[in-house]
Amino acid sequence: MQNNQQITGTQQVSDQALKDAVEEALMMAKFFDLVGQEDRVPDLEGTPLFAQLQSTQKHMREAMSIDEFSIQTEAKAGRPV
Amino acid sequence: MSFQSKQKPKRDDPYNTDCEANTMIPDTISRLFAQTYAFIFEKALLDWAWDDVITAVSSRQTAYQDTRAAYAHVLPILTSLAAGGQVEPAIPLAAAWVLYDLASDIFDDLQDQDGKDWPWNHWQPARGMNVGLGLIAAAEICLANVPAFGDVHTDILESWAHTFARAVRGQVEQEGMGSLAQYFSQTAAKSGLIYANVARAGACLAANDSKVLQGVYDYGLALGMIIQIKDDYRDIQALNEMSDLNTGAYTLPVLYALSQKEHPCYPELLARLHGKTEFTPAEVMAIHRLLTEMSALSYTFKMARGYEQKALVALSSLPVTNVMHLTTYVSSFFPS
Repeated sequence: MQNNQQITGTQQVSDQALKDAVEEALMMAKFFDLVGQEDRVPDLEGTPLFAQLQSTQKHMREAMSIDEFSIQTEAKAGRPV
Repeated sequence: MSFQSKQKPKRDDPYNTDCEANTMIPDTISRLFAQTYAFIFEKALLDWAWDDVITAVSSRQTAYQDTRAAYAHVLPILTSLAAGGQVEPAIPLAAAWVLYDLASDIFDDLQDQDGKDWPWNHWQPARGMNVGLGLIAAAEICLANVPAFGDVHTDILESWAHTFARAVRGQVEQEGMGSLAQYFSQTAAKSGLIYANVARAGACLAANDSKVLQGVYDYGLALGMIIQIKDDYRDIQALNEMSDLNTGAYTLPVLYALSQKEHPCYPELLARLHGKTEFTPAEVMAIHRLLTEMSALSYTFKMARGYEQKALVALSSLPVTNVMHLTTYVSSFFPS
């Protein structure tokens, strides 16, 4: 047990914490092409999150068959599959 | 408001794609789960002789004791261990968390009236409300027994109170959710930040290193997002009249599909959803087909995998042996 917290709980649940969580979710959504062009999302490239998501994408590509991944990509592009 | 997975585990559910009921629960988790409930019965409920409260807690214990949800119930203990702490001081914290969550589930069911087969759904609403309030009082007894110094205690109480209040507010604002930003805001408020602060509270009992606390907080945040997104994914797959569609809630797969205005299936999806608040099983099935064709389910799955990666990265600075159960838990949502 410690008696000196460096981060207070109140800080962590501040409006900023929620804003950060939503911004990060939208950046992830953008990475996975979830967000339409009308949504305003901060630029993700070059951030640590971008590297994490690239790694996730790589794992998912490896986990899926190439055909399955291609079909999903084609469907996203709105082309007949 | 429901902090944890809102659906009672169904062992014979053919659409149970995430293997919840089939996950092997390690003895350690089962033991911690049993210790947490023993604390609730012995320290918080023993003197009350309040049958309805005991029934509610017992039903929860029976339903979740051999499922993956057992991990979520003992989360503060696991994060205390991750931060180098011990089991015993964190048990009252886990007990309080279990009771707050159960109370939230009861109030959630009173609001939704969606007929899940829990005892309180067979009671009159006033009886359910009284039990919910009783559970909150029991949670406060448990919190009072957390062996922490004053400022740590205050920190935990404040962070939980703020977080739970925000989640309740999010529940009120749920109706009318129509954009991905709104969806993520609500999901973060009612699940992500709850798990973040519950996880962090456990670590607070053992450490005051800001890097450790931030790592555990980030893990909890990602875990909470996974749990809600997985719930949405499973609900869409359930293909029945109890679908989220019939509660008026558009969850991630539907919101994603609605953002794909150029997709050939978009007009049909819009026509099927427009102005409707009740859907037959056949209509839910048709919407499910459209969501599949529009890749809405696979993209929802990808988001959840993204959070899995974030959760694992958040723990990377902690000793592997300390975080073993936390990594097993978050990885169990996507068995390879």
